[in-house]
Formats: sequence, structure tokens, C-alpha cells
Amino acid sequence: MKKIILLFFIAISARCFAQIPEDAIRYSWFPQNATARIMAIGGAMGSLGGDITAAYVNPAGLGFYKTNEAVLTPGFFSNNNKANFRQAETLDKRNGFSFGPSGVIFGFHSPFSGEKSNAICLAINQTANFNNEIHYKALNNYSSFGEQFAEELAKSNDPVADFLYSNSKAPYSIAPAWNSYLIDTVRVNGVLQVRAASERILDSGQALQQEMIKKTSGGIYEFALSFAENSNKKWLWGATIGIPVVYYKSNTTFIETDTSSNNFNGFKSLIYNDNFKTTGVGGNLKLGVIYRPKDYIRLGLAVHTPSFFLLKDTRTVNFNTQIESDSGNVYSYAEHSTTYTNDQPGESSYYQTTPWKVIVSASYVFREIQDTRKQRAFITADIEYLNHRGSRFSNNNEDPTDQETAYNKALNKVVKHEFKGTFNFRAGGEIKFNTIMGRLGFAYYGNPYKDKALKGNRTLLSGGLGYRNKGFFIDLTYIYNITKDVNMPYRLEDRANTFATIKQEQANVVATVGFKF
Amino acid sequence: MNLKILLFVLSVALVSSCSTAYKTGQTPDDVYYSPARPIEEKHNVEEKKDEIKTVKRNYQDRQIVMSIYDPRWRNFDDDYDAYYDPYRYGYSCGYYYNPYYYPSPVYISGAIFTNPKNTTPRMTNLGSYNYSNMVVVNQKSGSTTLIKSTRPYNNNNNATDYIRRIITPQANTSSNNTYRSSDNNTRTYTPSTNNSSTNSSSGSSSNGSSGTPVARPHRGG
Repeated sequence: MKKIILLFFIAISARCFAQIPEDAIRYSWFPQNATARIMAIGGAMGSLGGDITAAYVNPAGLGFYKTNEAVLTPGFFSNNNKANFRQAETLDKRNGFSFGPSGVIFGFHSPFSGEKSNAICLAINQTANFNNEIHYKALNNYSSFGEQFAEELAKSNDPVADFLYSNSKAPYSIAPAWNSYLIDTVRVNGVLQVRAASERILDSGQALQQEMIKKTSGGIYEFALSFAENSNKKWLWGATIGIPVVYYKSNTTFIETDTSSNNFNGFKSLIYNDNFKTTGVGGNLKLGVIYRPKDYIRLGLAVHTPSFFLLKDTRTVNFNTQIESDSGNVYSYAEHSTTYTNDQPGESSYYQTTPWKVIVSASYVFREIQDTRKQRAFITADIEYLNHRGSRFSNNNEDPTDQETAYNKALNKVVKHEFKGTFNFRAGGEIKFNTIMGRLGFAYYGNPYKDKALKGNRTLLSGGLGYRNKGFFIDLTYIYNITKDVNMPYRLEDRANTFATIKQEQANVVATVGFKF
Repeated sequence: MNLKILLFVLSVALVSSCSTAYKTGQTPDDVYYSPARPIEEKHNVEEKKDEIKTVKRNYQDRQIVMSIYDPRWRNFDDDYDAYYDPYRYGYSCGYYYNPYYYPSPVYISGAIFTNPKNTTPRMTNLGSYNYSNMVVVNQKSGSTTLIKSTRPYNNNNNATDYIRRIITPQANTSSNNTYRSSDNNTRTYTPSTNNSSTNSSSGSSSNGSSGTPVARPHRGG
């Protein structure tokens, strides 16, 4: 199957390269999105079944259906972000809409065996939501944003003229940084070096004011076609073919300014703006089984293959600098990356595979009987293992250069070193009073970073109500999601790096409406 | 956002168009127990069959009525007749009559030729990520062990562990770009000289870039 999917992508793809390590966990580290009922119980769906969310977690759970159902799951979220960057706190907000699993399920008796029943499901789900805004601002007396470009040029050992072309090999970094005078060559003790103009501020013992605003939007929208079979009421199995569509957009603005009143120190300000977009499509397979050793008890196991993505990045970058001359005059320079990408946004395409995922689960369903007035409650819990270090990048260039091949290998090695496997936990329960239901849930997603200094985790607390009557049902859930993460504005090889810690508190309201037919 | 709205509208239409068989009774809860679907009464099926027949008959009636007013409707169900094919004559009687044949190359006006896309990937200095490997020597046995050390971070302006190298402009010099330092800086720059130069007027460099050279603006605007 993997070969078939890869062959399919190879057939339709164009030239491609690798990207950066942060792209790895964007498509693997996110909480499970589900219907309001399942979100209210922490998103646990590895063994419970009987909900359209099963198509995205354990498709065997669809095997419980013998009825037809259509559901729609809209949602609204409000993000409150608190960033701590070099001991200065900044607050920011972002609101938006989302949607959970929506689609139709057809449950029916097997045409080949009276004992068996089958279910088919067609669904769409926003499995990841990228809508967010990160903002932080602080003084920095240690390093500068411009140093990354100085470091890149120094390490290249190529003449700078090699980068200054209308179709440059460094159109987003060295070329515009050089022509905006953000970086330049200087002689130190007679040795030629590359330095950022802003370094003079730091060398004189002053601090730079740094401000970062990063707005992101989009998500992963996954179409699912599922089939499940309830073999003999003890064993259920199912499979889902998933087609995830990626749309990610980010706008990053980084502002660096001289905090001194000295107009003779060579640097006044930099406004850097990066517009970046990733689009693409992928494919994956989800397989699962549920075993019922006896009434009331359900045990589940599900395996998700990696998603094989064919992605395309589109990017433009602006450098606006104000450079002070030795006479104290301030000169402005504006450089746009399109000058170095043939007067149009640059594009690059590549393959990315996400990690494998394994879910084990158990549920206790109190009173599995037809009369809904006597159905009482259930509890359920999932344990999920996700190996974040398993993300891989590759190119499909027919004749890749040695540099591209080396970069790919190094990138995958860095992903293995930077990230680690995590155990994620989801648990919840429901109490049912005829047509009214009440639910509570909890979920925890572990830290994907191997470096202990980098803290990242997600904790979700949820509660909700449901109503089912006369062929109609509606569920309403509130989820309080606390995400801790880090954000590095830039990285340097020869200095200690700096990062902001982000604490995001997300209030999420999800509703699911549906009909039986 | 448009996609979301479209999906929402389609989904609402789908959900609302579904006739439910459970309007009067309990709503099955498939999490607990999923009953087999109730079978619709037979006479309903018969009625539907009658409806289909009626629709078919009405269609034929309408076709007869239309053929009275317009002769084209009379041969509506006839097989395709090549005699009426406007292109048959041209192809079978020579290229002269072929409306798509033209004896000389066709130049399409208005065609736009654009420069190729720049496909430079978003790369980063991977050296800034890597854990550095440290070799630890056991003094007693003399054996060596490779351990990974984490990168240091500087998140505090008062940190004394990380002192930035002080590099100041060199006094009494006419050059603006001459500095002195008491420490070696790692960003030394020794570009290879066998590549193109800034004065090159050629269409591409020998090291990855192409197109026309872009000159650096004069310092001072």
C-alpha cells in the first residue's frame, strides 16, 4: 500500500526539496478532534465505537452501527496566549471557527451472512487547527536576529556575488540581508568576518528590543472513507482510507530596534516580514479491531500508518532596514525576496511523512440494551503512542545535488535527535438519563521535545451535555485546553539560543447535531 | 473559509433532507446498542414503483407533444447518423475542407512566457539544532564513552554565564569596516575565489544561482 501511494505521488509530483525540523511536529503534535460527545469524554474513542469519530481513531468502532446516521460538528474557539520571552510577558488573543467530524454512516446487515453486519462511513474532519497568534516583545543584550544570516554567509564560504542573482540560491536570507546592509563583511584583527549591523549595539553593551508576531491559519482537513464489520458481536474490525488536505499559512513579523539614542552605532531598526504558505495532499490508512470478551467490556487496538504528504511551500520575505552611517545619518533599505526569485513568489515541493501511531483502549458500557431508557453509563480510556522522531522528509528530484542529498540526510537526523516518542492519554465517561446525557473527560498529550529544557504538553479538560429523541440528537461540549510550548525566533550555531515559552489557554465550544434515518 | 461555508451548507442540506424513520419512537444510541433498521411498510414501496411508472409515462407523453411542434423531437431516440455530422465532409474529402487544418505553423497571440519559479527550499542551519557529542575518558580503564550534551540557552539579560565577545571599532583607522577583538570570532569568511565575481555579467553563477546579477544599492541610498 505504501508503495502504491508513493508511486501515485511520484507520478504527479514535481521537483522537490527538504525543509526545516519544526515542520515535523506541525503535522503530528495536535489534540484529537472529535464530535462534541467524544470531545466531552476527552476524545477517547479507541474502543467505544458507535460514533463517527471512530473513522479517525479506530474504524472498528463503526461496526457497532446497524442504523444510518448523518452528523454535523461545528465549533468555535478562543485562544489566549501568554508568552514569556527573556522574562517579559506578552498577552495575545485569537478567535476562530473550526469543525469536527461530519458526514454519513450507513449500517446494514451483511449481504453474505446473517450473523454479520457492516457499516460504511463518509466523513470529513479538521484533524488539526493551525489558527493562532503568538506575540512577544523583550530586550535582548546577547544575540541578534541578523546574526543568523551572517552565520549562514560565513559558513557558506561562497563569494557573496554568487547569491546576488535574480534566481538566487539564498533568496530569503543572504541576498536580501546583504543588499539591505543588515549584514556586511568586516576585518577583525586583520581577519575577514561576516557580521550583522545590529551586533555593534550588543558589542557596546546595549540591548536590542525584539518583537515577534506570528499569525498562523489553516489546518489539516481529512476526508475519510471507512468500512467496518461486526463479525460475531465479539470481534469487530475496520479500516479507513484517509485523504488529508493541508493548508497552512503563516505571517511572521520580527522587529528589532536600537534602544540607545546613539545615532553613530551603525544600526537603527529591522522589520522582517515572512509570508509562508504550505498546501498539499496526502494519504494514510487506519486499521483497528475491537474485542468484546463479554457484555459491557470492549477492548480496542488501532494502528495509523504515516500520512504520506506531497506538499508545496510558497514564500516571500521582506527586509526593511534603517542603517546609521558614521556621520549619524540614517538610511533606509527595502529588499524583497521576489527580486531574487524571478519577480514571483518562490515555490518548493517535497514529501513529508508523519509518524506511526498506535492506540490501545478499554471501555465499560453499562447496559448494552436496546431500550434507551435503561441505558445508563459508560467509561472509556485510550493510551496512544506517537513517535514524533519518526517524521521524515525526502525529495523527488531526479538528479539531486550532493548538497540536497546531504541536507535531507542531516534534516532527518536532526528530527530524530530533536524529538521523541510520546504517550498520550484520553479518558472520560457519560451518565445517561433517558434522553439527557452528561459527560466529563480529560486528555494529556506529552512533550515531543527531547531536550529537557524545552517544555511542551497539552492538557484538555472537558464537559458536555447531550439530548437524543425522535430520531434527532444534539451534543454540546466545552473544552478547556492548556498548551505549553516553546518558540524560537531564530537559531544560531555559535551562540546560546534564546526562546519564548508559550502558555496557550483555549476555550473551545463544540456542537454536534445529527439525525438517524 | 469559503470551503467551510460550502461544507456547512452541504452538510445542513444533507442532514435536513434525510427523512427519519425514528420520529415517533426512541432514538437508537449506537454507543450502547444499535438495533437493526426498521423495515418500511410494503405498500410504501408499491407506491414508489407506481410513481416511477407514472413519471416514465409522463415523459413519453411530453415527448410526443413536443414532436408535434418541433420535428427534431421526432428522431430524438434515433441512432446517430453520420450524414448530419458537419465534420464528416471535411475529413473524408480532403484536408482542404478540414476546418482544423492549416498549412503553416500557427502562432497563438497573447501567449505569456514567464520566468521559471525559484525552487529554493526553506532551509536552516541544522548545526544550530544538533546535540554535540562529548567524549568522556574513564581515567582508570582508559576507555572512552560518547555522551550527548544539550545545547545551552540564554533566556535572561542578566545571565553571567554567557558573555558576548566584545568587538569594537579599531581606533585611528580610516576604514569603517575594521574592528579589533580580544577573542577569535567563529564567523570568519574565506570565500573561494574560483567562482563568479560581482562584476560578472554572465547569466548565471557557477554555484547554484542563475538569472541576471542584482547589484547592491549604494550605501547611503
